Amino acid sequence: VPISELDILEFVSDSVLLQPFHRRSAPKPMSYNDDTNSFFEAPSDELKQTSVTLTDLLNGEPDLLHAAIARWRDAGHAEQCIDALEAIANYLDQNGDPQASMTGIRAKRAEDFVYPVF
Amino acid sequence: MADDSLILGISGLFHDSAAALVRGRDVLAAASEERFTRKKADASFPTAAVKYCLKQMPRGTKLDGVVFYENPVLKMERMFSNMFSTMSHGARTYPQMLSTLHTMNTELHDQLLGIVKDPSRVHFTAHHRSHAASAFLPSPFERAAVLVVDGVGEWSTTTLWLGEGDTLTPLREIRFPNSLGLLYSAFTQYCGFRVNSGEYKLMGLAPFGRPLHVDAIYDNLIDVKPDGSFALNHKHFRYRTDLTTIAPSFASVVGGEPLSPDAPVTPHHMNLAASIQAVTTEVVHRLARTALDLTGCDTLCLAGGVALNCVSNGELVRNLPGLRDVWVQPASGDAGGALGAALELAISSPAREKRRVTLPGLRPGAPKSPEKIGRDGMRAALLGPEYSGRSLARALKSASLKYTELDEAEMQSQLARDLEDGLIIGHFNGRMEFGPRALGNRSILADPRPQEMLQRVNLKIKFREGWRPFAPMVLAEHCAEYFSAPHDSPYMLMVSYLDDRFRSDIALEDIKAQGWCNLMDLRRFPPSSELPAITHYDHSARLQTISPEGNPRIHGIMSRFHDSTGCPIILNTSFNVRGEPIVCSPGDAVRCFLNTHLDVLVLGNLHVRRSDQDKDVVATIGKVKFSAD
Repeated sequence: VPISELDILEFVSDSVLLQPFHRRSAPKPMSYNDDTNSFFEAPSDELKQTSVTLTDLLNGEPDLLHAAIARWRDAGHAEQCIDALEAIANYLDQNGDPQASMTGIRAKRAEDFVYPVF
Repeated sequence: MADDSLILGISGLFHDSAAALVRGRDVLAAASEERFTRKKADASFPTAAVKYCLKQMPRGTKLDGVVFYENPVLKMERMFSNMFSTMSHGARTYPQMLSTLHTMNTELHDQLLGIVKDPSRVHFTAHHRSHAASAFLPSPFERAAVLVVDGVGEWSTTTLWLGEGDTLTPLREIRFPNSLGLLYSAFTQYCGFRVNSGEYKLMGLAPFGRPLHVDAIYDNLIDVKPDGSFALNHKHFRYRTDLTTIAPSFASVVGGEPLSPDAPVTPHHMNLAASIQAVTTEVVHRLARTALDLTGCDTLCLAGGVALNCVSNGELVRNLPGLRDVWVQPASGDAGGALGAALELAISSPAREKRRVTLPGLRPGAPKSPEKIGRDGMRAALLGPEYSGRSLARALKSASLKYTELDEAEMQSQLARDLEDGLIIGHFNGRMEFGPRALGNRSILADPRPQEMLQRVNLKIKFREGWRPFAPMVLAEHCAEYFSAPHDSPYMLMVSYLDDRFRSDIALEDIKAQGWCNLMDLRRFPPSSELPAITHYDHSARLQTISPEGNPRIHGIMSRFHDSTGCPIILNTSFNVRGEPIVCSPGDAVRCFLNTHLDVLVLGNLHVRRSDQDKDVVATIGKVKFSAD
């Protein structure tokens, strides 16, 4: 594992890796091949909302990342998760974009592959 | 022009960055960033597209607001959730995840505020809401069911809506990680094409195969309910935890090995393409039927990347009971999200409400209709930059190209003659198209009748795979003579089928029975004896209907060509070479002309013939290598 990933793993896993946070921290994906009639969900409140301003989105936080962390805290997620996210925010503050420092095959791979999730 | 809020919409930082400028319901401008930066599917903040759109603002006006097509805080929350729920298997994705977080947190914030300064005038809307707005608000319908299907937004991957008047109401949702778009992308990758750009190639490959693996897909990869809702079997996918869509076990389900880019396509991969196309078509059909049932509508609007699957779209038109009419947003990918977000904000903007009651002579609640070309509010999707005659001439002179200036009637006649002579034309005229399809203004045009035309254009002009078919432009008034189940298709988003009278007697299965399995050899057995360059092996064609109001130049050329040859159809493909975005500027068009075997270049009313040029001017052909797309 390249050093940058070790760094990231270390500060995240120190906080949360061994904690039983999963059930509270992540919505459970619809189970595959179940016996329900439908996998549809009711639309989220965010889908119903026409738009939100930057002022409202920040909700008093200094930036978007801290606004997202605050929402997680308000949603009752485990404190270990919040600590990890705060650590990520600090990491980015201090180091900037980690992809900018990628070199060689890793940089090429990241550039070539349009990651479908992020 | 409607006197309503002036809004700039922006999409980006994922793929297909774009900007759009609207005034009320009137779309003034829209363009993708890739066209300016010449980097295909450019995902960076669309600085050049924004600059272009802002230049199109009416004199003396100022922006009422800027809107980003998705909610970055929600997206961050999904990333957090994904990271924690997949820890620590997802470590490979962390650098990209952190990079995305950083970009959204700093660049997005700063760039948006750089445009309007005031944070209360910077807006965000949900990704799927932007798509839904792009599908419904410019559509010709007052009331319609709306279906959005793509890879993923913040959480949504599939949504069903009711569109009514100015409002959109979400009805149902399927959320990440269950995604029809990502399932299709997994097969795209497995068949050797690039995720998020090669999906249309997989669709083009499908007619060469047989859907032998449909049951394996339903049994192992996706559980689809009768209402079209679905869940994926995540043990065979890796997009949550790695820089790949598929897990090693994916191969055990579908058989064979994943193809590497540019490897020869095997019959097995053709069958996989046919199989995932069949599954996609079935799921979209069920979803659309549910959308009609829930809304009680007989009209349907589509958007999201999956709406670019014109095979599925065409199937809806032909076979969905209760569907009277369908409209597909021509920029159905993420670029169109910029337009949808802007339209909805402009229509719902408080600034507009204020103006409605303060402006004398404007009846409250009755905004003026936008300018219409054809039946919708998209201005024929010709929303990008156009260039002055002086700029066009300058581009030719700087390349030392000899040209002839023709008036409009002369140009149309000349180009009809060029087509009849078998010449291949790079046609650059007027405003650039918005969306992934070239619709005539940045198009390569050719006569579809000669047997060798498909390979000439594929191999000598586009430098792409020789098996890939081209789309036909057909004069709208003659469409029914050539194609079954004709449907108005101005944006090349519907597949239709060539009438039996024009099909050759040779069936694909018969050719395969003779031991054939090579895509290139297949071209010796054309599926149509009259129109081989635009007919696929299942006799399907990705149709574009041409009307005089949609594109008067192209309609004029085709009418003259038809008068002379009796053929109301020409071949149309995007004006670019493999791996590059469609040309935007006159300079791009000149470079493409010089680096390919195009016979004719048209810039507005300037006509350039390769055979008239000095040899040293056109000696660059073959010296430029084009990368895979």
